[in-house]
Amino acid sequence: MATTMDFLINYIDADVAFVTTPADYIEVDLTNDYLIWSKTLADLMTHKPTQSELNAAAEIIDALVDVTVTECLLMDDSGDIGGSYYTHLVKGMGENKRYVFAFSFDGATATEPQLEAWDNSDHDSSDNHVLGNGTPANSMVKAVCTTDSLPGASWVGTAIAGASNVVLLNAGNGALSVAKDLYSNIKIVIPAAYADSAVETFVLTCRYTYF
Amino acid sequence: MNTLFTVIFESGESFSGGDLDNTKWLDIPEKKIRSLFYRLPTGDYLCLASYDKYCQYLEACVDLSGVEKGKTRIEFIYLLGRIDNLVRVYKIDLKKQIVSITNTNMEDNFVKKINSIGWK
Repeated sequence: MATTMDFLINYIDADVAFVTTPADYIEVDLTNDYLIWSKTLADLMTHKPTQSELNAAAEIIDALVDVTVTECLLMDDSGDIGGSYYTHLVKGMGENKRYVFAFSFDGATATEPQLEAWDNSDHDSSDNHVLGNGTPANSMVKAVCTTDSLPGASWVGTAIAGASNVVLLNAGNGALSVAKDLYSNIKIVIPAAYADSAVETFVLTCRYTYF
Repeated sequence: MNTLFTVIFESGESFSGGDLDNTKWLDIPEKKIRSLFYRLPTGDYLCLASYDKYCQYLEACVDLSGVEKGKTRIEFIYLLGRIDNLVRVYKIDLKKQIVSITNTNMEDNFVKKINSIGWK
């Protein structure tokens, strides 16, 4: 059968792996749930955030220093994790933490899975401002593979955008021979005095292969 | 149902593959392959023959965000034929319905990174 992948976020303790402490993770319902990158949106909201609430909580471009978007939250459409809560803070996002975003594969792959970022689901352009406005190396979306180790203090990561700037999720160790959980930490860093403010819905993509 | 591929062995026996959800590639018996007939998205068949070894794998994408999030979409099928150190790669683009062909070798990183269990 085809190898499949589940995407999970850690919402309790980013020092523990999914295999040992699955209760610390939420499996993202990719059809209905989504990630929110924000400055001040509340954790554990008892209603789905409105557009005005999202706007009010948005990160602000700083004139002098680069800004790492403060928080990433999962908008859980079912609102049934740990109570009737719709938002869950992703623990360890952007920090020196290893078990933050998890990619759980249920079988072997033909090549190494990788994380990508695109303008949209066509996967043929990366011109959004957040993706470097056509220059992948300038992408504000930074990712690092943490499958084998911590990312390190003040990790920089890889600016991901398009087909060339990607993050290999098995730490460069190649294809998966058996089912395995892979990990990444992801953050968004807005350059100081960036001239264009925007609301953009870029697409994070996991690309993998199987026989 | 049209199977994704048919393998003809040197012995004259054959093996039929499955579909994109379960290609059955890894179920191919360990016998010397004479030829491989692979169904293209157009309905035509691509025939590979006279290689020492063959490999096939599918490349899928899952969007974690965006309007198409959650759908596993198979974008490409790769077929590889190997003679000694030389490898010919047939890349089938399911969206554009085209096949691009490149020649490389076993030392190429692209080939080296392929899980060896896929070579038949």
